[in-house]
Amino acid sequence: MNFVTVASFLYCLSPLVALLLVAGLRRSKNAMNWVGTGLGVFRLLFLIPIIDAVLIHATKLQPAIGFIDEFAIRVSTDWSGHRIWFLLVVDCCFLMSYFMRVGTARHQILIEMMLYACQAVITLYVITSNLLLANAMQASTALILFFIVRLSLGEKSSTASYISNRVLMTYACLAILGIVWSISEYTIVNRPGFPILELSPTTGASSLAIRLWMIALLFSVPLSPWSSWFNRAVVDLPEAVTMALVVFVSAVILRAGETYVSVYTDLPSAYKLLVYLTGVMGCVFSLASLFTVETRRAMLGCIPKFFLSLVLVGIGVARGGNLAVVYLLCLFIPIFCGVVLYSSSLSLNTNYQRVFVGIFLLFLIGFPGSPAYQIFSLVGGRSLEMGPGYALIFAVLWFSYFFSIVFICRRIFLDEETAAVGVETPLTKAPVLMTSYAIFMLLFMSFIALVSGRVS
Amino acid sequence: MINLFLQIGFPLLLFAPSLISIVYIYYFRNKQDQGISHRALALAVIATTALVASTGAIVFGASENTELMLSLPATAESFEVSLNLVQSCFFWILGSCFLWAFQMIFWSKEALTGKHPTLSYLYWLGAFFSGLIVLLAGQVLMGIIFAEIAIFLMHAYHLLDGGQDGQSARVSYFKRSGLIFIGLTLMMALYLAGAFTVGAIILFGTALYVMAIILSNSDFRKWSNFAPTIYSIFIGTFIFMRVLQPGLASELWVPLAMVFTVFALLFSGLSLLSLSGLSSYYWWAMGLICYLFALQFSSNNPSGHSWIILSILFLMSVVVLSGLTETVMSKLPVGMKRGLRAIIIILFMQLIGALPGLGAALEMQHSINYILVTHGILVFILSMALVKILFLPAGADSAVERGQQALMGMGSCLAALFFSQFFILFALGRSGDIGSDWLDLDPAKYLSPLVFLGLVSIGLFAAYFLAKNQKYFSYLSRRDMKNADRLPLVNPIYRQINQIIANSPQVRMDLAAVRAERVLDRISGVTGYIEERFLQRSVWREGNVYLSSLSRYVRYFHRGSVRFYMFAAIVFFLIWSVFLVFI
Repeated sequence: MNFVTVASFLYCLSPLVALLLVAGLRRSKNAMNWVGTGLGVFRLLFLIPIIDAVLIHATKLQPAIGFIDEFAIRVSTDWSGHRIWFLLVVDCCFLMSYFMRVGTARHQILIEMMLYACQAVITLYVITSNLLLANAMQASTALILFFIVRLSLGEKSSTASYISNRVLMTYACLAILGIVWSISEYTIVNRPGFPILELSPTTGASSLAIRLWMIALLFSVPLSPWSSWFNRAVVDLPEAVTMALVVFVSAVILRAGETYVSVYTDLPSAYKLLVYLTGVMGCVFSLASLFTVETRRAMLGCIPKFFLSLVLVGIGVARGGNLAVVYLLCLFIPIFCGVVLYSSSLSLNTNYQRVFVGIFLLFLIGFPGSPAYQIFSLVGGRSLEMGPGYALIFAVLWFSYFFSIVFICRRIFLDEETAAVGVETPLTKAPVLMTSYAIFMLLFMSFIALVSGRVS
Repeated sequence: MINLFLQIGFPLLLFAPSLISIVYIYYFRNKQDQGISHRALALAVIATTALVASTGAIVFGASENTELMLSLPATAESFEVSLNLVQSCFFWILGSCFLWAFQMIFWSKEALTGKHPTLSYLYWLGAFFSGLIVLLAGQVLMGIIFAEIAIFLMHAYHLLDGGQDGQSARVSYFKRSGLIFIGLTLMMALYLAGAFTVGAIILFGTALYVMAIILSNSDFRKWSNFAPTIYSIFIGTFIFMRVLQPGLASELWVPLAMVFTVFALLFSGLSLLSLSGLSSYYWWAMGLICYLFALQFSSNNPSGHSWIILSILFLMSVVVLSGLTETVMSKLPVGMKRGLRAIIIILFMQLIGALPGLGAALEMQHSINYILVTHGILVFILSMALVKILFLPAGADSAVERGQQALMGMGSCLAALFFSQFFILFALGRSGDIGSDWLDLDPAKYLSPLVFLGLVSIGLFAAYFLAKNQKYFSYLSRRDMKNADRLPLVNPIYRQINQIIANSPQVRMDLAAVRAERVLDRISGVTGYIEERFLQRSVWREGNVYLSSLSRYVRYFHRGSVRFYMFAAIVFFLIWSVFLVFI
């Protein structure tokens, strides 16, 4: 067993250790802050040797850790470059969430513990290469998030009930359909030592299971107009819980995208067109809803939803299963959402905050080099290749996005009577440390967008 | 080594003044009495940039193409971040520096010394900087992105005016957005109907982009807003010229020329119907720009280098003329004022207005066709409008007084006109383009140039007689007074359009919001019904029951009695896992 394997193993287990620490220190004030910080730093430190290996040998590093030897299905992990970058994003987002509001005081410790558990399960979900287990992890995370959401606003809150029910039912259904599809389409292959699930060579996109899975996938991306839970989550839920939800949704999209690639070539073009048009519709509706809301958070909350819809547009224009857009979006959305939650509560008191707002505006507008620019350039480049119809739709999407951003900038920063925050949050005080971290997140997001394009 | 300096050093030198000025502003932000003013700083930035651009125009030859490319990973080729260092780009930059310098000299007192001078300066600098990148952009799409950023920053610059001017800026931005979306939808419809090719979409799209900027300006209250508006058009024109390639959708050239001709006629007409100086001048300038586009697409080579130079000259000239009309003219004694008016009319209509038309006429000298005749009419109306702008002072009390003032000094203009016509004919005869001997009066060779010059002259004469016509002044005054309490500076026809959108974007946004909400409600209603009918009564309810009981168990564990068991289980799991890994 080499150092990388041990590091990755400890990396996976560390949130559980943090969970125990928080449980033990439940009476201490701000326990979550420093335990969370310690956990974040610890995990990032453990990722460094792995990242180094990824950068040098992006395609070679695939250690497999077997820790449930007795079962028939081997739990193998895949530490390929894109997953490690995503884990970096997950860690940074959770680190941010540990400084945010977690919910009612009554269940605070429980929610904090569940957040650690959620981080642990999401990590396993991301690195598991076994489709069956990944779906099981997905369902488990949905269940944990169900409780987190419920407890964060109190059990009797109708909003909590609305969001938690939808999250659980949507992602559990997707997971169940994924499991059904895995069993029907995948075969157990006897590898030396352990059997493993692999996609059967005879598989195709014609089966009922994949069709149902695809429909569930369309519904699992929170699209306007039928998914209003995402907007409500951004506005009403405590920030830390929202962050956990967004990270989870991004992880689901990342894994679903990977699965989608395996059947991409067999899919009829009508399916791809359906996905594309659904995405376009989602983009247009999410930007339209931006003009109907009043508060800053609600306005800015529509932008992550737009990018989530853009995932489907990216899938629709992907070339031969190359889902670079989806990958970039999955890296971008969680951090962007965290920054949005923070920026929507700013009152621009200090120079640091003004610097942050300046950088944030550049990112929003899509300055070259920023992730938004990278994403639009990928989608735009493919749209141009696919013909004038796609290019025109892309032009509509880009101009809609840009004009919406101008509207937001005006309402938040330029109008004489600017839009209200719309939510009571401790982030309004915006300490210097938080602002610095938010600036770091913006730059980190850009760095990731630039570097991730080079990792195969 | 020299190449490296050209690739990296030149862009850095171009951008350095802007960046250094930000540092300067940051340092002096709280020391109001120290350092130089924002206006002087802006002029210093413009002058330094212009100096570097002039050097660039000399160093980089017309055919050289030095490209600086910053390779971003996972980016499509069309979106590559690259700077294209060619001579024509430096000419464009020089033109933009000239525009802004004029703005700073004549009108910056209104803009850069207001309530938020530093903020105004930063918005202006952002627009200027983004504009530089647009003019150097290697890829058109990157150029459009930066053009939008520049336009947005100029919009923010206008918003600082607040009040009605701020509202006007909003309406203007809203109209531009609306026009772009309408254009895109139209192009999509035409493409789906099979009427448009890829080239046609590119050409039509960029033409639409420029026209959206021109048509979006809704209210004209301050001369200081004129240069930023022209700068937006300048950027749009650059993109338009950049896209134009030899043979690109050549089937659309004649229709586009006709469209631009119609717009030029319309704008000239609006200029003649406007009484206020600013409004009248704005429409005349827009008419002139459309006239240039009409000429360009009537020629055999719209993408030629001469059109680039001509576009820059046109746009620079209209800003210069606006400065002369508004600021300089009022400070001069009567005699000098007359002389200046005469020079302006002659220079403008002969050199800028008539000569390009003359060039086009020379191309078609053996066949007088409808395009030539249309251009002649356009020149005629533009000449009339120019005389009207220069000789109708907006400050006079009555229509009669205005007419009398207008007639003063017209004689000197007309005399100068005859001389200029003579010299131009002489120059044409000696140039060798028409014939080696200028006394060789072959009608086929002289007809087209003569038609043009004749039309310019008739246009000026017509303006003279129009100025004597009191009914015309009375008509303009009546219209002007009738709407004085509402939008006094906007001409009657365009005002009608503006009134429809006047309360936008708020009213339109509210309307759109209500409709969007209605659609969302309906869809939510349908999905809600399906959910209630099929899910809540079965799956949802049962699931909730189980999950609620599970939730109760979790809370029970949390109360402390069973926590120990949870703790023990996790520790056991940890030890067991480590054992499995290492043994």
